[in-house]
Amino acid sequence: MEVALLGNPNTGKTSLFNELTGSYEYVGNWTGVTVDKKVGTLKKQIGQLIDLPGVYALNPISKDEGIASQYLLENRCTSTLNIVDASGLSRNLHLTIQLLEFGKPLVIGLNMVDVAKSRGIAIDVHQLSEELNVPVLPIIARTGKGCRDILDYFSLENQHVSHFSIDYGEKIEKAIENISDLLHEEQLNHRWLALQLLQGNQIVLDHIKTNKGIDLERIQRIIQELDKQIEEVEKCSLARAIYSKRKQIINDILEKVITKEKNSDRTFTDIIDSIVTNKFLGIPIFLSIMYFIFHMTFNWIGTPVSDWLDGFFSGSLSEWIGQGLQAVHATPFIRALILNGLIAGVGGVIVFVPQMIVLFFFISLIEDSGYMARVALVMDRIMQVAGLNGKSFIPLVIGFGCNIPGIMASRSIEQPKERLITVLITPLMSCSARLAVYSLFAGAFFAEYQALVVLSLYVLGVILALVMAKVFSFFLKHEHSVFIVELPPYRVPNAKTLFRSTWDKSKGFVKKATTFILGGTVVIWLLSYAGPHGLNVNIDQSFLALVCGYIAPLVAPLGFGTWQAGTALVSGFLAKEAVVSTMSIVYHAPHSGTLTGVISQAFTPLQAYTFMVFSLLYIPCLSTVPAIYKEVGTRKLTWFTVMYCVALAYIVSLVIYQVGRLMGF
Amino acid sequence: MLFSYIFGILIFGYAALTITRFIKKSRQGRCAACALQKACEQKPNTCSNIVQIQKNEPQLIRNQHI
Amino acid sequence: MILTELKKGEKATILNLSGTTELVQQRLLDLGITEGEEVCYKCALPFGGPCMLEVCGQCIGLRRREAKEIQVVRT
Ligand SMILES: Nc1nc2c(ncn2[C@@H]2O[C@H](COP(=O)(O)OP(=O)(O)O)[C@@H](O)[C@H]2O)c(=O)[nH]1
Ligand SMILES: [Mg+2]
Repeated sequence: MEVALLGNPNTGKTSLFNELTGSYEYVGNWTGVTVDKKVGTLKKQIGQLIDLPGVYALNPISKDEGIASQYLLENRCTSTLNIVDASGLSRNLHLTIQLLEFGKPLVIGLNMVDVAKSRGIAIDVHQLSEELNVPVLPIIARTGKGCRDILDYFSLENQHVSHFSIDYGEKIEKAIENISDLLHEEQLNHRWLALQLLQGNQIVLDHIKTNKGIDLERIQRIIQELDKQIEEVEKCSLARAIYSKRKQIINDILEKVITKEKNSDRTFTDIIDSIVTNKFLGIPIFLSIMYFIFHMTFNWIGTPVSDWLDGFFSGSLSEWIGQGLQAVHATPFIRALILNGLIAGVGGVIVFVPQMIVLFFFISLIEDSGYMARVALVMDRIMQVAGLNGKSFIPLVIGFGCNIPGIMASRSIEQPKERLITVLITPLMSCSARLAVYSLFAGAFFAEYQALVVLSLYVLGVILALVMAKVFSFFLKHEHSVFIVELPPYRVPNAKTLFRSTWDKSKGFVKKATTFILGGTVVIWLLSYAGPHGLNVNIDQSFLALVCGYIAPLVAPLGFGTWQAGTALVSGFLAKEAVVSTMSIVYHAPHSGTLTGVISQAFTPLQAYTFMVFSLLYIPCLSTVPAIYKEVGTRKLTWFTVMYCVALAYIVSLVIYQVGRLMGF
Repeated sequence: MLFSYIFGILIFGYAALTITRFIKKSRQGRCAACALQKACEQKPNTCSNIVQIQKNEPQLIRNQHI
Repeated sequence: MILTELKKGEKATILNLSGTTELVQQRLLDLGITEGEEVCYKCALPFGGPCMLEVCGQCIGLRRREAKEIQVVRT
């Protein structure tokens, strides 16, 4: 059995998915959190559940909506689970009607009944079920209340196939009949297909086109004819006429189902909104929040814990392991591998976990509270200057965690041009892996102003991204830019979600450090240990120094023309944390104290800042490149993205270093 | 001595394994550090067929100016 | 009158949406915003930034340029 989870955006589909499958997928309080389909196994092994991006109707506008419609057309699911937001029934039922017309077994999960209740909306579930002729199960996906009923329902064998149809009026019905007759080759519900075609659903049309046995021209003629008739009589488009008819039916149903007790006046959401979207305070508040987050991450919580961890790794732990290795008579090679390679390299990255946890916690907080959509609103005016819209800012904020989900989040942007530009600029966002680089350098050189220095890098990334967006928009066909964003009510972030989200992201970081970074570290260490003259050579005579010595002159104008910096940058392409682990190895000298100490000898503050800027911009990491390819669709554009990042990084770093030197730093 | 050999083989073996795995994963546009696409691992090739709505996807008019 | 002429916090009924572009219109319909619905003009951001509306119990953000194409009548 395969159950598809469909519903309007931000109605709690993914929350329910997590509840029913026991997995953890990304939950957030704004439109466009889920942008890909996710497969999970229902508890009790009764089948599979597919989580899909939210859609308002089956006629898609943005790319993520297209994924949901496409999935239905592929005709794989055996039944559908429609999540309906109880506090916004009249809008949600438009999709429900289209799903009922689709003709697969359907069950409605009436979610957010707690929200509806607090707004004084009472819903007669029984009546609703009778009106629509499908089972309706009230749930609260966030707490898991009622979710058992859904599982129990799917455990039943015979599932209810609904018979629900609306009479769209003589003319439309006639056209539906005519089109249905031409569709007998199709396996999907003919009436549904006909209706979607009448509504101008492009994805359905493309699907029909692939079926050679269908007389497409005749269908299009029928649609055009009807369109003209409707235009004459009702003075509106055909799609609009269908919409109105549905709306009328919905209103009739809701009349019988909903009783509104009281009208709550000024809500919690209104009060917060009047502050955070204030004319003058909007942007300053956003920047202050970001600064506060960095201050927590670096000055208050993260760094003290990290320093302690660093001391532990380079002190006691190294000592214990050293003694242990001595006790088992390990060879010098193994000793060096473990102490100078693994502990220095992997430990060098792991020490930044506390900072990541704090940062991830706050990002999750922003995501789950509902502030994200407000950020989009507040930033729209600035984004407009750069040829984008406020919604493009959401992928950028997500990119602060990791660039890959950021790039994917761009799917919810309606206009293809703005979507493409957003994908192109997201790699300039400073992801959490780059944070490890900043932590290292800012800790060594700018201890007191860490938060400010790091914030400056984030802001630099955003500013350059906007400048590049403006540049790119000159080279693209002009398109009418649109911006509509749903502003969901604020929700007190769910402790479970917050914890899971933070845990999941941090776990990913640790996992990467102990698998791939570890592997890379071993290779780098080996190259630094071996040279043309055998093993255990002076590090300056190692293969690593010899090979990466060729890179050094290239970056010398930027102020860090050493082979060590060159090596770190090369391995940083694989993953940005590798910059840190590589530096730990190449600068590792026994008895020289912590890495921070060595680094502060090797760089000047200006060089350090330039190095941070260069690491921020210079290239999307290896995993990001295929993600870019997937979104832009062509190899040429992917290469272009990588190359422009390199060029931009070089130019910006050069300017900063040379100007800084002239100013006497 | 024997101990050192075992350790050496273990470490280098593990390193080789993780690197190959990472490269393979990266090819598919996944990132070990992010939660996205995790569910897909249980059922391969359900993620790969993402639709591309290329109805009016814009083209860079000139994109080789670097 | 047009939507943006309303004062902050004022309510009105939507008369005509057809001035907006097709894409915007479709999105507005998706969000349940049609002729005859009551809309509350909540606030506008500076320098011609977007404005915030409340329709059918939910808030949406919309560019001022699009909002100027929406005709309403005070209730
Ligand atoms: N109050 C309340 N909030 C919920 C409920 N279900 C989900 N949420 C919240 O609604 C937001 C959107 O949830 P999500 O699962 O990402 O929705 P999706 O976009 O449909 O996948 C999250 O902030 C959830 O915590 C519910 O039953 N009651
Ligand atoms: Mg979701």
